[in-house]
Amino acid sequence: MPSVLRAITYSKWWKNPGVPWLLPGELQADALRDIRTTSSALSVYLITEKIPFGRVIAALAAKKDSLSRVDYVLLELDFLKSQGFALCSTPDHGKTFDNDVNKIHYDIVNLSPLKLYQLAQCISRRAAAHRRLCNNDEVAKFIVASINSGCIDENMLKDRLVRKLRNFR
Amino acid sequence: MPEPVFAVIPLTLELWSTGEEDLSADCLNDLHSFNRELQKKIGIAGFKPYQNNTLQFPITDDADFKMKFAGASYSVGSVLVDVDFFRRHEYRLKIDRDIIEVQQLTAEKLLKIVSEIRQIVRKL
Repeated sequence: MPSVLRAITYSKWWKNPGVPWLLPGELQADALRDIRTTSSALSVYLITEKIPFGRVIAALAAKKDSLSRVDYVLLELDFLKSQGFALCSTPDHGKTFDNDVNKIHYDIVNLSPLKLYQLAQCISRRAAAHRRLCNNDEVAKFIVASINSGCIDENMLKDRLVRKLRNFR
Repeated sequence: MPEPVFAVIPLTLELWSTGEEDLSADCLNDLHSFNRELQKKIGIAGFKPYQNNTLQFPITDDADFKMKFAGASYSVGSVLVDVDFFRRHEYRLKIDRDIIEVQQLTAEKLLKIVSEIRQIVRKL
């Protein structure tokens, strides 16, 4: 079943020591900032057998200044549509260093503040049931695999990230 | 009765000046916190995107106050939200001299602020 992947920052979604005041069922305001929109649309990537999720993780992580884990959530397309969300294929909006990953860029569109909040609730429930993350080692291996297969040009990466990846070459 | 005190909220007015059904989620990105450290004169450089579930605004008792933004586009303006709004809806507040800090913001409480701003902009 096709799903879309959205990178998130888990600490902005969970009740944790930084937010002792958060009540059960409430979302932090920072969670809405973590899924901030551009032109009423939220960027996601479609995961199918054609482009494995490891390549998407690599593409997202390769843009960063240094090696860091990737927290993410997967949302089934059918589920999103059943909840009234509309998606558009927007390959021009994909800004990673992997051109094939850019081609599977989608936008969840027509998001008002209320719809974004409803989407945040979906993400929160899904993330609570299936917390997903790739740790630094996993991220590094995905990036190295994408470099070795020619999907990502190592010259595009920041120097600090390249130095961190040397331990995994 | 004490004089009202207002939180001065900077806005990109064109984002907020739409029909109710067309209000974009982008308006959430437009909520900025006053940053005293960056502030050298009253201007847009004195604000930053909200973080740590907190919003900070300058406060004024001048009901006609309009913030000036140096070098900003014509669509950047400000609205005044009565501090009593935050008290009535039980926001956690800290008022220090001329700054109000709205703390422990949930997504739900943020949306209430959006709704209040929206109502004020409609009346402009």
